[in-house]
Amino acid sequence: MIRLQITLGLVLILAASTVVLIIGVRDIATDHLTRVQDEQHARSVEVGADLFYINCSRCHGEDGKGTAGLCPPLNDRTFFESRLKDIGYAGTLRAYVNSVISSGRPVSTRPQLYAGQMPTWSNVYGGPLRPDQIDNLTDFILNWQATAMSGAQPAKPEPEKAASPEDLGKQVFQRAACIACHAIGNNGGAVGPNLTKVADDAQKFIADPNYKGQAKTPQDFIRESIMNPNAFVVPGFQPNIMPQNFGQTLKPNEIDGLVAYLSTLK
Amino acid sequence: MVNLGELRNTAMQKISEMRAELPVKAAEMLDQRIRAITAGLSANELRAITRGESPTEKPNPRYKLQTKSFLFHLRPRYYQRASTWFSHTFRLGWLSVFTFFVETFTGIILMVFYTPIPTQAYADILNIMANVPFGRFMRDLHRLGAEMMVISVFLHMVRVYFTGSYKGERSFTWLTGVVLLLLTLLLSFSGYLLPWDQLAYWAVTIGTSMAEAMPVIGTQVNLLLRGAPDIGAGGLLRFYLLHVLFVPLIAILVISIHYYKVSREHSISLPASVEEGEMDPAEKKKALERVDFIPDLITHEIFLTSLVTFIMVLFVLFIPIAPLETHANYNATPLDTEAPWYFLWVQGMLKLGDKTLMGVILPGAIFTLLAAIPYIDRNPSRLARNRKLEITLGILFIALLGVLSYFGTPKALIEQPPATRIVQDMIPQEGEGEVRTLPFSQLKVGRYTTDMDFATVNGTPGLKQVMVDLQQKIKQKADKLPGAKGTVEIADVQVDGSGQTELKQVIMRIAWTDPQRGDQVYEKVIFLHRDAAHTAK
Ligand code: HEC
Ligand code: HEC
Ligand code: HEM
Repeated sequence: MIRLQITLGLVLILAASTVVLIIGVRDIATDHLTRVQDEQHARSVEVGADLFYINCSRCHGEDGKGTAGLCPPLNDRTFFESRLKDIGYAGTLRAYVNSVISSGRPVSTRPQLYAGQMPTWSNVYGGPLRPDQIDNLTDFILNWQATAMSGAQPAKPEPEKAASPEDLGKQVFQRAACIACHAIGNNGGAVGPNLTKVADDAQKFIADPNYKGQAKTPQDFIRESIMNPNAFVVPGFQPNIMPQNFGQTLKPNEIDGLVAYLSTLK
Repeated sequence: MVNLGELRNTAMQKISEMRAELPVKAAEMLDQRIRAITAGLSANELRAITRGESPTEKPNPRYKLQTKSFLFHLRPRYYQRASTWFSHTFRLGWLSVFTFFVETFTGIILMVFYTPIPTQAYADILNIMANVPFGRFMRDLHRLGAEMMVISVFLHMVRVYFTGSYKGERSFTWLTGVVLLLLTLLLSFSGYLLPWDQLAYWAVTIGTSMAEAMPVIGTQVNLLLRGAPDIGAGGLLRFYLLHVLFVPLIAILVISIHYYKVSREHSISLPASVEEGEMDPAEKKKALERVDFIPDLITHEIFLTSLVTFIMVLFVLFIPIAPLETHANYNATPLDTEAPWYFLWVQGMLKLGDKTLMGVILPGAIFTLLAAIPYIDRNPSRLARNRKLEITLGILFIALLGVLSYFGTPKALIEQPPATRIVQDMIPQEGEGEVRTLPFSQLKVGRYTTDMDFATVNGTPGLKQVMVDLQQKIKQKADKLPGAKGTVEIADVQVDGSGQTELKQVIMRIAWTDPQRGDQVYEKVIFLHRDAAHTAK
């Protein structure tokens, strides 16, 4: 019995050592751990994308192309290639992105290009997000580097199915960051007028004696407000806040879509 | 005059004599050294031991060890054969000690890479798994050891109960055992918080909130444990110190007391059939004969050690069991919070009644009752046939624990809004679920609804299955979700350097018309990365 147990025990110890050896070889001599790192990075990007969608897309756009006149694009070649130099930052791009998100931007560094402000995000400085979430966001933003386009507003691939003009308009409303300034329902910013009943409002403004524009129908009024926002300045708001160049940056069908969509809001 | 030749001859003679003596002398010296280290065993004796031969000297030098060597004096000199029958102890006490050692060893290694700070802890666990060779291995072993320890301590108690080995003089051993059960649960539970993920954070939040339900001192105890009204940096540090220092130290002390009672004072009980039953005298004689610690028991223990080590190592090679959910989030209470399995029975009780009664008073009463069993049970017999009541009660108690644990599982006895439940089942907040585990290539961009013709997604069978399941689940709850329609939208988000999509957005939405509240929508948005390796578990 004793000799049997000793022999078997030795065999088992050898077998266990072999398993340990296998794990050691896997961890040290193969790319196993690199793959685990890639997985962790991928999951971090997933979490970052979610956080971006919830917190950042209303200013920086769902696809990171920014809001003209307000918020810079983050999905942009110059951002990845020359932003650090332009601004004289000594650290890495990762450190820059991480620290900008953490502390926010109380004052724009380029007021003539992007006049907005960015709130503080890290809870270390009083914002709503934890440092690990800032890391996730950083991973997500840096993940644009491979394909960042140069120049502004590259065309977004068309959605696969032909959407109705209203649907397209609804998408563009999000994507062109109208929502950063305008609310529909409770959702959106308050820089510009609430558009929940914009079609009705348009009817009223056309009838307003102060109205000097060309529009006869709510549709035309909405189109005019997008192409030439100063044609009529909604009472209680300032001119020149709404970007003046949507006529150039949006495609004709996108503007048609916007008009079709907004006209349904009564 | 000195005769040089003679002198030379004598010298030569002496030298050759010494040469002949040398091996003997060396062997003697070696033997002395060995005896000094082994507290009296000669080299020959050691050899005899490993061959299972009888002692080479008289009196039996193997017994001397138990009085002279520190480590061996903790061990028994011998047990009676029947006490060592496998079917009597199932080696569960041994297994409890062994897993405790495994935990100590793997735990110290994990400590090297772990910082008990909320901003660091989770990242450290990720780092252990992705950067430290053997890191994941140590973590899995530590987890496996912890689960095994809880199981073996519990089963050990069950066996002691059913063999009636807590009676009479062993009642104090039982009492220390109950303390050990509590310490084991505390050890396991305090370790639960350390990864600082959602699972950990909310399980421990619920656990400590039970402390809060204690009458009079509740708030104070809760504060003492958490270090603040909510678990944060203070709570993490406290649980860490409990886990790596305080509880283990106490456990070592109590295990020593417990074990000393068994090994040096009362020995392991004899099976009741041998002690009280009628047995053939020859068989009985054999059952009562001594089995010496050296060599029989110690060889057996070493054998068990290598056996269980092998099983554990093999297990974690194939089944990585240490979970890690997303980072702890104080603002997001998970939809399904789950206590560790060994506390599911408490969670089950909590669903049945109020926190003070079900979370504090009843569990307290149960442990008090456990501790008091030897004093309540005055039946002197240990034979099963004389203990029908005790055995029935024991089985009922275990069955009750089982039922309560079932009530404790997240879905039991809790009704969630149906749309939330469906989406949570298909895209759970934590873990994978059937949408995340879709192969990335199946995530074809588009908008799919439960009322469309599924033939259009024939090319992507996984996606089709998701739509079929979604449709099915909605149908099952049709009474609560009138006119419901499910939608899955998939869109590209980011592409990699070669122009391939590597990140997609998936939206699952259920829209229905509530008779009272009108049109309702529940939706969930997730992002899926090609390399995230979501795999079904
Ligand atoms: C209220 C609008 C707004 C929101 C919301 C917002 N940002 Fe910003 N962001 C800005 C503005 C404005 C700037 C500064 C532009 C400048 O200084 O030139 C900026 C700058 C940045 C920069 C530095 C860009 C550069 O070129 O230097 C990063 C990175 C960034 N934001 C990331 C984020 C992330 C991540 C989020 C979400 C957590 C977010 N932003 C949310 C408005 C916003
Ligand atoms: C930087 C903030 C900002 C952004 C971005 C913005 N707007 Fe405006 N918008 C305003 C302000 C301020 C006004 C009111 C002043 C005015 O009428 O020019 C306004 C007015 C309007 C009006 C007329 C309001 C009414 O009640 O009749 C419409 C329509 C409109 N915006 C549509 C859009 C659309 C569509 C987009 C996106 C393509 C957009 N806006 C983007 C700030 C913004
Ligand atoms: C960390 C937890 C524990 C450890 C390490 C431990 C260890 C041991 C060991 C090694 C033995 C020798 C016999 C055997 O292997 O079965 C033993 C016996 C015993 N244990 Fe435990 N034990 C633990 C928990 C408990 C618990 C929870 C109870 C009951 C409440 C208990 C009650 C007893 C009793 C009564 C004996 C004597 C049994 C007999 O003589 O047959 N122990 N324990």
